[in-house]
Amino acid sequence: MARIAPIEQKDAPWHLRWFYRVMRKMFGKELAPAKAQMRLPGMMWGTIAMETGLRKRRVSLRFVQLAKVRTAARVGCPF
Amino acid sequence: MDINSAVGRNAGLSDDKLLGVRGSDLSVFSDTERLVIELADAMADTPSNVSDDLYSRLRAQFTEDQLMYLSAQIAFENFRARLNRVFDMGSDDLYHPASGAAVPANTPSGRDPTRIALPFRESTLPPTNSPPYFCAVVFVSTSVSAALNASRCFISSARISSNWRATL
Repeated sequence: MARIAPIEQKDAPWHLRWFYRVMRKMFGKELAPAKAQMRLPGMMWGTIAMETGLRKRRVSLRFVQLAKVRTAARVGCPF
Repeated sequence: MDINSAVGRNAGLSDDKLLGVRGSDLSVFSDTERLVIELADAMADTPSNVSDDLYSRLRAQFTEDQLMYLSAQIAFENFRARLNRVFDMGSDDLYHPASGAAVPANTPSGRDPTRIALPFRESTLPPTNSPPYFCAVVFVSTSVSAALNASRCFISSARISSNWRATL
């Protein structure tokens, strides 16, 4: 159980409510970390901008995902 | 690990590799994959020391642009993972190994949890010159935000101006 309550779509900033639909479409559910991070809309936009900026892949997705899973495992993040 | 493993599976990584990368036995990986894992380890350490030897081995496999991209992805994952740790975020059950996979209660019926319909499966990536959806959304939202800020500035300056006139 997370230490922080999620922000539901109806309570999220109006300019970020579309992101809930994107999560449902992409993953079939709304992701808990993103819902918690809705407390800082500026950070959410920064995260979206970073994802957008890294959208053009320069390295195989297999290498990227291996590195990400390893990083999460090292840090201890189960998400 | 959860969402990244799910995306990794869609990218073609086997369960052996997705589970193996969490441990210390890296025998199932190729030399390049081990190199990438070594970089992730170095960047997760504190202090984050990437040795000259590791960097030269990475440069032998990747261009500078590729290495910048890979490092940015790992650094971004460090940000997300460490942020999640503060709030003790749990897994969202997006990844289950193929053997013994069970449909989680909150997974839409009929959806195979081992094959999440992620839009960025590597084999179906859109052409890189097509305007991404996120870019359009960011552009529209930024424009709306800028317009709102401009109108606020205009209203504020009008108020200041009227106040200034009132003092004359």
